[in-house]
Amino acid sequence: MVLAQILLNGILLGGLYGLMALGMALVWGVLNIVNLSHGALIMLGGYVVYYLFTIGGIDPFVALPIAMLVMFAVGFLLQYYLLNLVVRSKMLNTLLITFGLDVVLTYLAQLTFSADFRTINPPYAGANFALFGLTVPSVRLAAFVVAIVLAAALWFLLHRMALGRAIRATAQNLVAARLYGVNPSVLYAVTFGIGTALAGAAGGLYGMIANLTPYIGASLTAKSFVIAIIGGLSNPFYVIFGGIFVGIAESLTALYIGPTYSDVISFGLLVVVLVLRPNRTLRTS
Amino acid sequence: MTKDILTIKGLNAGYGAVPVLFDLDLTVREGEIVSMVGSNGAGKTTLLRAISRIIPATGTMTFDGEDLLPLKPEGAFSRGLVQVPEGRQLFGHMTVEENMMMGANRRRDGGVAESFERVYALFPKMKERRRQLAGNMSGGEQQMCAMARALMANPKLLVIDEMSLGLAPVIVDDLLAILTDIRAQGLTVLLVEQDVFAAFSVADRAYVMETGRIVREGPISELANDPAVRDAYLGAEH
Repeated sequence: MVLAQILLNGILLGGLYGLMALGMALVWGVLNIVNLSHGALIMLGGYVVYYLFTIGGIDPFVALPIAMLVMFAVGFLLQYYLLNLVVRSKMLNTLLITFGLDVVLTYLAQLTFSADFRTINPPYAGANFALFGLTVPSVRLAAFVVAIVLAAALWFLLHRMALGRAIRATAQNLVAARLYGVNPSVLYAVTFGIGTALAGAAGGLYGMIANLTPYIGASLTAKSFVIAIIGGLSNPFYVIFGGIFVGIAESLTALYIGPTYSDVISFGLLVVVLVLRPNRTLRTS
Repeated sequence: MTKDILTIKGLNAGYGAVPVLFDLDLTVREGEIVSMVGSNGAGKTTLLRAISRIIPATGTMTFDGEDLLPLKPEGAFSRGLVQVPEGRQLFGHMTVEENMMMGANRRRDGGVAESFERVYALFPKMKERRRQLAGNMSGGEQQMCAMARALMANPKLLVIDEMSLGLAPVIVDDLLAILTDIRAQGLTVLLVEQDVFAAFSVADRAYVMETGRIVREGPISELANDPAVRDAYLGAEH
């Protein structure tokens, strides 16, 4: 029973992990930018939801779409005016600029929001219900459902809508996309905006489950990176599966080995995946 | 006389400080197939990049009565100047149908379904293969897919770069036949080719380009009998 409970916790947490990685995988696959500031954007999204909830009095789940719009705008502007300078350039350039962005965002957040721990604490934060003898925490279940819904929405966008088709086309053949009416700088900005909006949603959900501080970004970037590689860049659902895989592995590690080792496991898994299936990982859409 | 769809006068273009095209004049009239021939490095692809507004250029370029120079690539495309690029440049991980939908990317006229029917009639094989990934098809099929994608944009001028490159002669013949069908539907084509035989077999007029300049131009009947053209491009036996 303990094992089943741990598995459930891992799956629910893993959905959120998957959502965290979703935006990173999208941006990586289309723009070839490994966004080291992704975790900082998740953090920022968390604060947006936090302030919408505490100051605006808006229910955090209602605040999520608002935060996504705000973060879309943030991402669009970042890409259009800054990251378009390095898009499809050498990996080192993109790593440097996004690392710099991570530092700037983190310390701007510290200046603006202070270093205090914050939690998004709606009245139902501690609610849970029993199912087949297991305890299901309502907020975590809701976060899991939101993650699945957003992954499905991203899949639908990429595979069934004209905008998504243009995004995939540009990832596959920039020359042809330009000849066929795609303006790459705008399309890249929209893509990064979508990735940032997804990060924002993940941040809001994260803030309901764990503490927000300006410094959570780096470790969330690392986790998203691992999951994006395990899940691959080709399909949003694979990314969610990657997240669930890591979530379960971390939960089991915390139970049987010790919570301090959970990061060891997620990066250990990364090494195993890279050794076993090196070609699968970085295939784009 | 029919109206000019593309008029280029005194065009200079190149890459950074390296000039490639010198004072180039070119006219394409509505409903004709004009071919631009020349060997490797003559500047044909550069000319197409300038026409598609991918590289900067000076001189005058008018497309369908509108100044082409200030336009961006997507602007030229949405006005009906559509290119089939050299090497096909398909979206390899997308299906044939999705590639064709990318051709109709900028269309808001509601005629996309009708275009699908028309293009599938020209390329029945593309209809059979519509669910296949474009990257998994043979070279000839990929060229068909690239042409089908371009036609989905409902072009006023179809610019084809090196259609025959790397394809078996029998497939080139098929494509040339389709090109004739396309022209019969009233479409204007600018065909840029190294294969002078192929180009001359379908075109009404041709330009011969060498090192960034037009060295000969005229109706095919005239050019095919021009001793200089025959020696350089058509071989001695002709």
